[in-house]
This record gives sequence, C-alpha cells and structure tokens, in this order.
Amino acid sequence: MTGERLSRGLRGGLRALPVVGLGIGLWVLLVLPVVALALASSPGELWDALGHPKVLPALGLSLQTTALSLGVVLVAGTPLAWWIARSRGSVARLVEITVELPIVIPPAVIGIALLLVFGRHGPLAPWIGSLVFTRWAVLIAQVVVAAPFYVQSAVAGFRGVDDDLLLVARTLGATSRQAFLRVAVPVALPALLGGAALCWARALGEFGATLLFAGSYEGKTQTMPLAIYATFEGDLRVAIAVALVLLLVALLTLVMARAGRRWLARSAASAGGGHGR
Amino acid sequence: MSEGWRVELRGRLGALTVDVSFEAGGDPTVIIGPNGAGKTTVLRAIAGARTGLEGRVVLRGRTLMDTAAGIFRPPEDRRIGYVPQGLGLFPHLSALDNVAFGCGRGAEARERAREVLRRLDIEALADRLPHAMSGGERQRVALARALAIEPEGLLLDEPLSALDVGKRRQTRALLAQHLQAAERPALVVTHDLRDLLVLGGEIVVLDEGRVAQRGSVEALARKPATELVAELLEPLG
Amino acid sequence: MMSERLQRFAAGRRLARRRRRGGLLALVGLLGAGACGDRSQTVLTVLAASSLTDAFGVLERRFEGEHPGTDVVMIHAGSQVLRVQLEHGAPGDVFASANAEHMQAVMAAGRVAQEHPFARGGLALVVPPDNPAGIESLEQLPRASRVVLGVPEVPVGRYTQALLEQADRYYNNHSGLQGGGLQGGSLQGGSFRAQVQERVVSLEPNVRLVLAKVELGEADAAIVYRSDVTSARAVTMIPIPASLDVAAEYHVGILVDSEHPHVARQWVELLGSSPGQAVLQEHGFVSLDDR
Repeated sequence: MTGERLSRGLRGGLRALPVVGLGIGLWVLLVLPVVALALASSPGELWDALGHPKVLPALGLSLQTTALSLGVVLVAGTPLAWWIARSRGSVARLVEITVELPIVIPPAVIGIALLLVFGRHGPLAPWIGSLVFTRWAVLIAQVVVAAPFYVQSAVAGFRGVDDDLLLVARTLGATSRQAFLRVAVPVALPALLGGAALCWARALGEFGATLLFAGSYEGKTQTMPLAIYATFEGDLRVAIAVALVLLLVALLTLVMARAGRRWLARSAASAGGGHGR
Repeated sequence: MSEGWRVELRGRLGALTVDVSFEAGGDPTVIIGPNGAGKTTVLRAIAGARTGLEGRVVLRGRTLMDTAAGIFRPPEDRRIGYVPQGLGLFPHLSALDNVAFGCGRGAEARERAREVLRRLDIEALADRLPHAMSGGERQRVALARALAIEPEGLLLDEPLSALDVGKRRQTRALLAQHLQAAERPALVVTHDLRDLLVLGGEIVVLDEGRVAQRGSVEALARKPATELVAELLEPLG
Repeated sequence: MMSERLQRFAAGRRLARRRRRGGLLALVGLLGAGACGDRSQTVLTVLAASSLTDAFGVLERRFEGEHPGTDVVMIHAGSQVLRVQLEHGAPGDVFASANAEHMQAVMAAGRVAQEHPFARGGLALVVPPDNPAGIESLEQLPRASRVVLGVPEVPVGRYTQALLEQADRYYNNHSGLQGGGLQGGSLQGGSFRAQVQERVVSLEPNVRLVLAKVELGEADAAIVYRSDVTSARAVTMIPIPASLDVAAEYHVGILVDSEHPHVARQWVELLGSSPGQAVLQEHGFVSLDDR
C-alpha cells in the first residue's frame, strides 16, 4: 500500500522532472553571471574599487538621480496608472499601450529620441534651452526608461481593487480623492511597492539612453553604469569590481525594500491591534 | 410615501434593458429575482455609482438623482448605508477602523465607532482585520459600518450569501432585528426565499430589468402576476 | 581558485587551455557568425576598430569581388572591446586595432602570433555645419561653450589628451606671436588646455557617439579621428596643424586559430597593397610611408 503510493509519487516526480529542470536551468542562467562577477573579484579588489576616483562620485550621482526619478515616477505615475486602470474607453487602452512602449524600444534609440526632443534644435529649445549633458538629462532618461515598469505594475494593482470597496468608501462620506488615497492606494500597496522597486532598479541600471542623451562626465552625468563602462575601456578587472559595488548597493536596497514592505504589512495589521489599548 | 424610497431607473446595460420603477416604505423591502435581473445594478445606481442608468431616485423626500433635472448627488452626499455583495470591508483596516471610516477623523470618530460596535455586540472584534474574522462577524461589522454614518436609508446586497446554512439562520434573525431597530428604510437584495419571511415587509420581484410584481408575501403567493413569480414563491407553498 | 574553475567551466574544454579566460563571448560570436552567409562560402571574420568601419567597408566589397565564394564578415567595435572579447576566446580570423597596446594585449593572450602596423590615423577638429562658436582653427577651440571628447581610457581620448598637451605647450609659448587666436589672449583664462578642459561637457566611450553629438548640434566642437569624418557626416572638419597632430598607429594581425589563415593573409596583404593603402588614404588615414 505505502509502497504503491511511494512508487506512484516517484513516477509523478519523474514526470515533473523535465519541467522542474527547465525552471532550475533558467534560475542558473540568471544567477550564474552574478556569481561569476562575484567570484572574479577578491575582497581586496572590491575595496580598491570603492576607492577608485570614479566610483564615489558616480555612486552618489546614481543614488541621487534614481531617488529623484523614482519620486517623479511615483507622483506622476500613480494618478496615471489609476486613470488607466479605471477607464474603459479606447483612449485609455491607447495610453496604456503607449506607456509601455519604452520597454520594447532599445535604450540607445530612446537616447537619440530624447536628443531630438530636448536638444539645442529640439522643439522645446526656445523655452528650456538644451538639456543635453545636464543632470536633467540623466533624470529624464531614467524616468522615460523606468516609469513603464512602475505604471504597469500599478495599473495591475489598481485593477485588483474591487469597485464596491470604492463605492462603499464614497457612501461613507469619502470624496473620490479620499477614496483613492484611503482605500485604493493601501489596497494596491503591494503592487505599487513592487513596481516602485522594479522601477528604481531599472533606473539604477540605465545606461544606453543616458550615454547618448546626457553624455558622460564625472560627478555630473556619469552614473554608475557609465562609470563601469568607462573603466571597462581601461581595465576590465577594475570594471568588474566597480560593477560589483553597484550590484551590492542594488541588492542591499532591494532587500531593504522587501523588508520594509513586510514591516509595512505587519504594522498595518498591528495598527488595528494597537489602538485604544 | 415621504418616509421611503421612490425609484425610477432606465437604461441599457449590455444585453439587459433596465426599466425599473417602484416605491417602498419605511419597512425593509426585499428585492428578489433570478440572476442577471439587474438587482445589483439598481442597488449600485441608488448608492450613487455611475452605472449609466437614467431616471430619478428620491429618499425620504430628498432627491438623490434626477437626470431629467440634471441632479446627481455623489455617493458621499446621499447618506445611504451600502453593504455590497461580498460586504466590501476594507482589508487593510481593523473592524474598528472600518467602522470609524465614515465617522470622520481622529479619536472622536474612533469613540463613535466603538459605540456602534458595542451596540451590535461586537466590541470584541474591534482590533481584528477582516481576514481574521468569520463570515458572520464580517457581516455584522459591515452592517455596523453602514449604520455608523446614521444613514437615511440602507442598501444590502445579498447580505447573507457568504454564510453557511446554520450561521445564515442565526444572522438572518439578527439582521431582521437590527433593521427593525434601525428604523430606516432598507432595500435588501436576495435570492433566498427564507429571507423574505423573516425580514418581512414588501417584496419587489425583478425580472430581466423590469418589476414583475410588487406586494406582500401573502399577496404575491395568492395571486402571482407571472409564471416566474409563481415559480419563485412555490417553495413557500 | 574557485573563480578560475568557474570561468573554465564557462569556457568549455576547447578553450580551457587559455588561462583564466571565459568563452561565453565566443559562444555569442559563434551564434552570430553562424547566422550569416551560406554554408558553401568561406567566411572571413574581421574584427576591426570602429574607426575603420567605412574604409574596411570599401575594402570588403573589393576583396569579395576578387575572391568569389568568400564572404567577409565585419565585426566593428572599440578596439578595447574587441580586445576583451578576443582575450575571452571570441572566434575570428583577423584583428585590426586602433593602437599597438590592445594588439600587444591580444598577443599576450596568445591569440595573435605576428602583427604589424598598416596605417596611421590623424585627429581632426569637427564643428557643426553652422559652426555656432565660429571656430576656424584648433587654437580657437576655447571659444566653444560645449566640447565633447573621447574618454581618456579609449585610444581616441588618449590621443586627444596628448594633442591638447602639445597644443598647450605650443600656444602658451607662441601666444604673443600668434595673437588673436585665443579669446582675448591665451593666458587670461588660464592655459589653452585648462580652458578647453573647462568647456568639456562629456567624455564619451567612442568616436561615433562623439560625432553624433556634433552632428545634432549639441556640441560646439569635438576632436575625433580624421578617418571618421566621412562625407556622409553632417559636420565641418577643421584640420589640425601637422606639427601638433598625434598619430594613431593601426595594427593588424591574424588570429592563430583562424580557420582560413590563407584567406586571412590575403586580406592583410590587401591592406598593405597600393590599392588598399589608396582606399585607406581616401578615408583619412595616412600611409605609413608618408611620415
């Protein structure tokens, strides 16, 4: 009896093996380059890389610009995602599709397009001049390339908010704005935070559009990916160590974001439990 | 009928043509009908959702909407307690905070919410999140939340559907009791005949977007206007 | 060491003998090379510095015309990129580098046994066609409000720095004699080089990117290889005084594991032949004999 069950379980396991194998294969493919990067540098080299003259300015610039671009995306992208998620018209569908366009366009092409829009001879030049080679350009490139990831995730999150929850909130006296802030945002929060983390990570790794649109100048427009490329031109080993610094910073931030998310969920749960005690 | 509802709603919703017109008094009125009859849409329209339906809704002499006259009060201005199907509890808020949602902000709102919970005998649930409650408990919190704003009228959409049979009987009696005590005109959508008997009051039978018949249980059972009404009331003998 | 083992694993047995170098790039290269051309043809893969793109394009058509059945596949990238790829086992037949150093590195990795210089490339000052800063000579470069150069880690950037150094010495010594070149006298705003550095807004990793910035009018001036300034480019070239120019020396070598060493040798011979040198000169390169 048990033997039969065991063999049946075994056969089921064997049948699942190819699928499981594919999954493991993909995981290995994703992780192996990172492992190779980690193993290619000794702790000493990593330490030296931190002291490399390009690294600290680039790291500071990357953290500063990605924080700003994430802020811009959150403030502008959240209402946009809400509107997309709530609207049924064909205009909203068109907007939804076009918002995702930058995901499929190669970043270098986005960089050229941004040059044409915000350059000296661009249509906006009479009012704002040329933004090329400025920190604005770094910011704009990051926003354009990373925002779709947040908006996409936020739209999915907002679609998951039950219409009835909002209608109930309204009948309880909330204006549509209050219903959005007090009900829709908290309910969609996991999707919003997930999208924000993805958006930030994409902005941090942004390379192609920045290189073309913002150029590369230490302390001004040279973000970490550009610094990595610049050191790669000279010494591959230094480039690897610098890349590892970026990887560690990104990993640390994403782990912290995840922990923050869990803490938020738990504190929301205990916030109910904490009152009136 | 200044103490009750006056509802006239028309419009097309996909394949369904809605043309509903009824008046209901101060006692709970039960709306019954097969799936797809338009019950939920009518209730949502009364609550203030933009459903695309046109017409007029008057509650206790107050015009909530009148598309012909260009009047449309937003939901927050209708003073209606709405409990949707599935109850619509805010998943991120405790029972207390769910109830306090409509009571304004701050400690005062909490105090009022606590009082409502006490009145419904569910003060013990105050700190629990919806997912940590039983179906019956959730049901009562949702009712408490709707009552906490001291609404002019109540809308309950299948209030007992989430409960198992045993709990349903118990909660049904409780609901009837509270609705009587609330002294507010209530519209209760259901597909369960036993709700009719316990909640009492008038019955509006909806079928394919129209009112098939309206009246007391006895009147409907005695002289059903359509085959559907007869079929619906058959189990009552 | 662990990293060594891992890299060797990635490299595969065939390439394992190459010390500490991975082969994933080789795999990518193989996929790329396998995809083009039909199988009956001899495929000659030439990895060449991006500044050679146009000249080698002409030579490729010529070579294919003279050698029916041979398909020349060009892989253009910065010399330093090609060098790293070759060090990690990228397959190919010929490597043409924009300087001696990267060729030396590839030889040290055991991928090339013999090499020799085949051309020199000079630098040129380029400005947009409307020349907003009104620059007419190298000395007037500080008139530009935005200068874009190659990053010092790549050959063009290194040559540019050397050029600026030479020019700095020259103009600072001769400013009194030359006169009028620099804005209000050369020493007023610091040395020539310091003034230029002040106006640099971007240090880009390759010449094409630098050129694009000038073409789009975003930079007022830039320094690139003369060979990159073809007629198709919407820029104006301003010659640099021969006495100041710093020449890049282009080197070519046949890869030791070339599958068609015979055809590869024919390609290298074409570069050295007088028709080959003529094509190179048409594209802004300087023949070795001329200097």
